[in-house]
Amino acid sequence: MSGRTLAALAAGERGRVTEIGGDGDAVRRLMDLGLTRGTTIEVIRRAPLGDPMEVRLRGFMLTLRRSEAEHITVE
Amino acid sequence: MDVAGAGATPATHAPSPAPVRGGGLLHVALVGNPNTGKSTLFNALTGMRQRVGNYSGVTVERVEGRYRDADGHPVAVLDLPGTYSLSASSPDEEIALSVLLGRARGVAQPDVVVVVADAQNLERNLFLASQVLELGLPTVIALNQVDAALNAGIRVDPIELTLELGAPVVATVATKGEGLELLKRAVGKAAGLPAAGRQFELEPEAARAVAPLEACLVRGGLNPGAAAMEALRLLAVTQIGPHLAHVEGLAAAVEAAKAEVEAAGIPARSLEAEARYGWIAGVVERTATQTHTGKKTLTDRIDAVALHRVWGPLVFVALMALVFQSIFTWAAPLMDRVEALFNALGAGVGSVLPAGDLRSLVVDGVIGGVGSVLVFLPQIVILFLFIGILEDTGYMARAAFIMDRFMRSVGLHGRSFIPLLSGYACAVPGVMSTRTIESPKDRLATIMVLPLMSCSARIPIYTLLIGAFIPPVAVAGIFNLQGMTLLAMYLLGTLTALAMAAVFKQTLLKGRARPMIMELPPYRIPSVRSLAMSVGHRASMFLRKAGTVILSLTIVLWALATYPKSHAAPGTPPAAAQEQQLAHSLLGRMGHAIEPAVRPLGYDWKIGVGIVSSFAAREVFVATMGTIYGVGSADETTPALRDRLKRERNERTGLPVYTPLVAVGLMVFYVYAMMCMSTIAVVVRETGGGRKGLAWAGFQFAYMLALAYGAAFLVYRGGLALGFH
Amino acid sequence: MSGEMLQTLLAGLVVLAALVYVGRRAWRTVLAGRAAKDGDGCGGDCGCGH
Repeated sequence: MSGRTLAALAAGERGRVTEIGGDGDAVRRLMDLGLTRGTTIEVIRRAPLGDPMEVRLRGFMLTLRRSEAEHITVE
Repeated sequence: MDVAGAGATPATHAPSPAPVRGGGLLHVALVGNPNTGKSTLFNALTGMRQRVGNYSGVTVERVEGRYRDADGHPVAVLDLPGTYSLSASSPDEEIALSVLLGRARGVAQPDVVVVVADAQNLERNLFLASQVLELGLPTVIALNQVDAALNAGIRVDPIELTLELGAPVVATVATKGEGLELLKRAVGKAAGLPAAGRQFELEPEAARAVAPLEACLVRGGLNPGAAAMEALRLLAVTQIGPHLAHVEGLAAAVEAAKAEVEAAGIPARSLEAEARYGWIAGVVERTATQTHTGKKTLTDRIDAVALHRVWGPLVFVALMALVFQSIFTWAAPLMDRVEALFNALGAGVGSVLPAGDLRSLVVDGVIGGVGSVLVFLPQIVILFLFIGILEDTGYMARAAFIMDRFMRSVGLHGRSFIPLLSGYACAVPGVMSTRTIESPKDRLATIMVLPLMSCSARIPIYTLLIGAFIPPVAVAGIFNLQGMTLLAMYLLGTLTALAMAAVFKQTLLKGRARPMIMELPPYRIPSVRSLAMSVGHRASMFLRKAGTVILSLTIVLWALATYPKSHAAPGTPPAAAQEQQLAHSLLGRMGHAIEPAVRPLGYDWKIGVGIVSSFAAREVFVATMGTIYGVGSADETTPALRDRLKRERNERTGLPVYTPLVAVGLMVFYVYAMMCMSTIAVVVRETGGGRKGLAWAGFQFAYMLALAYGAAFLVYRGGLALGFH
Repeated sequence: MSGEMLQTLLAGLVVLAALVYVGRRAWRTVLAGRAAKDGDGCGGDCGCGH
């Protein structure tokens, strides 16, 4: 099982969420927005300055920083 | 289509019927995700009958309006802040939840809740809807933007969705006004019917673990439905909100429930999200169809450029340049017309009234002073129009996305970018828009530096001084020295703002970084009507300010410059007589009194007077200069005023008072000084009001004044030392 | 009353009204600071109008 984090995915790659780590507001906010285990997430691009990144989740576009994406494990 | 049937599959918690208010005012609350067109819907329902204020004790905007339904009954609509869930982690969400639970001070609990859902993002929108449905209030779902959804290949069946949710679903297109009458009818009918309640069941172990927590909440006064909703929510959050502070033993009950849930092998934190989204997936499958998913939408294609590594920033800079260019160039002919109008008015009145104080008051004071301010109306309208377009089309979110990394290098959040940008127009709406910044420290830091972004009120001063003292020579072929000086002033303010933000975030306002989790909404064509309404609102507020504050200040200034009167000996040339009058008047004496303070900066007492009088509002500087130099109705482009400034000689040394160096130093002073009563008032309020607000505003005023004095001093003295004069 | 005196009188009244207005606005700014606790905030007029 690949233990890659969302932060490691390249533009255009997809992943299925297996684990959501971390704590606090960011995680809960992401879950409210639909980032649950088993959801497919697709990395669209990174910002021109490298951070944050844009992902597609449940049909809409979302931004998150590398530091937030590091808590999410995908396969 | 029959939407009256709100009968639901009874879930484990039977909700109690909602109370009916007979005959009186029906209270409706609008909730929904951001970017669902909720505001457009609100505007379409209530038209111009809106009122904006504050919720008690928090800096969250309270927007209310009214409409009459088909039977003529009045309905009050409260547009709650856009939220993604009722998790109460930001003041906006906290207020929405408090209002819906009937626990917000001074706000009536709504009789009917309308959840505005975006048909293009059904899954995510249903999360909030599912929470709202459990609260025990009659609920109607407004399925908005169905037109855009259809374009994206998404079809949602409102009737099927009604059956699934247990609440009436009305398809609407707020921008075109479709579905509104149906919505109003559904709202009217919903008021008397029982509420829907939860439409799914938790796993038995989870339900058992949560039951004691629900009971505790019910004992605390919540209805069973709301208790169920809150219980699930509390498992995920880290802090119990103030609206539940009154429930006894809540913290312990929450901990116990979390432990039980974990013991059953379920992560407590994700229980709510997984339970709700699990149910939602099924609902969406049964009620919505998606065709042509693989196709790249227009939004995708635009973003491929707008967010491109290279093209993105270029597009961004080009757009910003366009906005600024339009303010200065395109507004010019309009401004000339306004100016000509006021000149004619002044001349007209002057010829009708006989000579005397009243004529002087009206022509020099009122028409001259106020006219010099109203001339900016075209610029303001254009600026707000552009900002409105950028926001409504969805580009602003992209701007925050691009700028986040950069903002973070000075310790701010990407969300600070838009308020700071608004500061170029006017600090007041900029400060108010900092409400979208979640971190209190980030917000304070943004507010503290915002007025350094050169607002439109400084433009007359820059224009006057540059026009008079910076020669229009070309530099390096294509650049104009005048234009570059203007740009330099803007850059100075902007760079200082960023630097001060970094300083504040490193010292006073040090804090954790907040997440940058933000939706990038699909691009859309802004509603012309909504845009026109908001720009019109701003323009009318500007006119109001001009018609009241600036008018009064101008009148007071005129009086200070006219009395006491000096009586020139007959035969004295008019210019000298004017001088004498000014020196003799109250204004003149005040100016002489503060001259020692401003002499180190290279200013004489007349400039000193101008500065002092503009502390209330910057534009007054130009009007004051006009009054002081006895030039009838003057504004910053009047050749007469510019000439007067150039010819002005210091009475003691005989040297010119205004040199390019003095002019630049004066502009630098204005870049930094906080000179706006309105901004101070808004900062007081937005930083917490009361003593705390006054303290922050006072601090801001002081540090900005120190910067202004220091920088002007450095420029002037430094320039002298370098050999300029 | 001569035309000039009348003018001066009227001008004086206008100035007085303006002073009263400015004074009230300044007072309201102070009040807005102190009493931000209760609702209604700026009541629609946030002063700047820019």
